[in-house]
Amino acid sequence: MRSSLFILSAFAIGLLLSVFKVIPDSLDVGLYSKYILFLLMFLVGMNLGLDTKLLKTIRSQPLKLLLLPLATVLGTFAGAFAAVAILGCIRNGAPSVSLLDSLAVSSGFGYYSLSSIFLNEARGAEMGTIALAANIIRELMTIAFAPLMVKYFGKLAPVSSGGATSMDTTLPVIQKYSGNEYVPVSIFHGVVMDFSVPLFLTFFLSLY
Amino acid sequence: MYIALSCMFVGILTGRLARSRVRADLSPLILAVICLLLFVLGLELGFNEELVSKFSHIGITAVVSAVTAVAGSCIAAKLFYSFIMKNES
Repeated sequence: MRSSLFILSAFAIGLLLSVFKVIPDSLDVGLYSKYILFLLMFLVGMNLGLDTKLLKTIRSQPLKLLLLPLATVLGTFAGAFAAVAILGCIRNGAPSVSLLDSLAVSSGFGYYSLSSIFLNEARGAEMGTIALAANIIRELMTIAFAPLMVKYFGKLAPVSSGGATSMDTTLPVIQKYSGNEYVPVSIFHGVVMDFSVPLFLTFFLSLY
Repeated sequence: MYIALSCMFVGILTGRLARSRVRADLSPLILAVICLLLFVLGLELGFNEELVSKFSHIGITAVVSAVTAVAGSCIAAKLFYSFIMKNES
């Protein structure tokens, strides 16, 4: 839990420093985040390489784990239904969201750059921004709350919650809290979800 | 995305070669780099003026969408896990 606090504080400090212009906008932060991600992936790999019992534990994993993306899709879409119901109840000037909008936003599975571009073009700037924010928050929640997810929902929960990001940005926390043996399924899951994002988005956006 | 995976494979090889000599626990270092990544993500979002100015308007919709997606996935993952384990044993 202490690590969740560190992670959220780091995010909050970054956000505050840029919102209040303490750090100038001229920095190419997108480039930095890419290199930091590469370093992180190298460290995740090194952790795997140092593990002497890795191959044995991976071989003992049931093959059915590869069906996990199916559970992620079903769970996420069930969540999209719940979101429409909850937003219908609170609605205080927030933009109204149809079921189709909600399904399209959740089809990002954490892949915020792609989903926001799709929704921006098809449904306007507001839905694009909602998709961007919702999918970033999904990634952020997974990184910050992975230990709680493992505790209450099991070792596959952060993988599912990470969605398309389970192969890169959320992989380090999955490795840390679910264990090295879950890294292969996590990468497989991330790749499958990654490819499914444009498929689901195209499908839902064609229904309007 | 494939560059990131390639970095991981280079890491695996490095770890494999260093195995006999290095007995280091990398997790504090990994946590520090995760914090650095989140710090930069925070910066990136703060620089996105469109997102910052609209957040008071769209924030609640985005938060509810994210929380329900995460909760739905976690519940589905738990059901899936218990289903597999029941079939395995």
